[in-house]
Amino acid sequence: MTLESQLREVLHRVEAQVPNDHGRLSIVRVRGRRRRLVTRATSGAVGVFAVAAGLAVLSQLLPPDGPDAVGPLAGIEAAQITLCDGRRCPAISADDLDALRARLTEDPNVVEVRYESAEQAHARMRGPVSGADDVAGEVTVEMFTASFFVTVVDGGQLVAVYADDPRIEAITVPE
Amino acid sequence: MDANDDFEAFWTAERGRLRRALVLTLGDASLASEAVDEGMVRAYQRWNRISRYQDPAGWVYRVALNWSRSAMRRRRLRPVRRLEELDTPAFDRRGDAELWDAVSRLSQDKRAVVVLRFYLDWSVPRIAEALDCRPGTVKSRLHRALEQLRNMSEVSA
Repeated sequence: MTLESQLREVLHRVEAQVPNDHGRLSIVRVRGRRRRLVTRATSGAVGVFAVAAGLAVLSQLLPPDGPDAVGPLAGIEAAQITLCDGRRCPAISADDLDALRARLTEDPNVVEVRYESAEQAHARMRGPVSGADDVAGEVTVEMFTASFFVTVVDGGQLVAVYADDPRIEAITVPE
Repeated sequence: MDANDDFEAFWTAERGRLRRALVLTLGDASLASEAVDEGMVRAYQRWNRISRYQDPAGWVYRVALNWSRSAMRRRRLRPVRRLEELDTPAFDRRGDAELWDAVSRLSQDKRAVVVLRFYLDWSVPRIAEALDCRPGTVKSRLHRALEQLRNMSEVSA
């Protein structure tokens, strides 16, 4: 057997041991302005913390002073997380924001909650995505127990949701 | 098919394969997941342009690899040469374990070309495009990697 063919076999044999990370993709429509929010959690088993991180991200989409507030997060009145088994998390209201933030901050499994300005996010992305206003802000949530992130881009028309928790089927924002 | 459907089809077809290739390259399953998702997000943001590329998957691989290098620098991580989750692959042929150990000792540049060539079965021009280098560079890295693997195998034998 040649080294090349042995390499092929070995790489495929090792690759077969790579655990599946249950990556999922949902793209849904959202009303509102252009914005990009990302939450990312790293490594490990899935858990309720993924949902908590999702709530944290969605909380960033909500206007801090109610649905009529003017600002980059205005225009979305409520959000909904749907799990794969069909259950829905309670819709998130602006009143939940402080509690959600506190919960994430106090959770021992959350190793970091970081908020970046648009400028910092641009710098991290090494340049504007497609215009200076494209990135409204970014939140990164790093946890031990789950991995997924949510991206909202361009004109507020699209939300991309990448979830690494098989229980999370989609995160939708009602139009 | 609109742009979202198009991207979703691309994501479904390529994400898992690219992630596995990155796991083999980086030796870190979590970092590989993050890296491929980062690459996919950037592809999504530029999908009108990226979708017209000859090899969008190669573009995502390159972005993911570059991102992982920056992430490792930021976190002061060193490239991982062992895979904790994969430390007991079911090798049944004498020398396979030694060969995998030798692969994991290669530099990341060499491991990338080995994985792309022998795991994803990409051609030399496609690897060159993905890694943004000349085909001659790919050939020379492959040659040196194979030479190193032969030497390591001989030493361990």
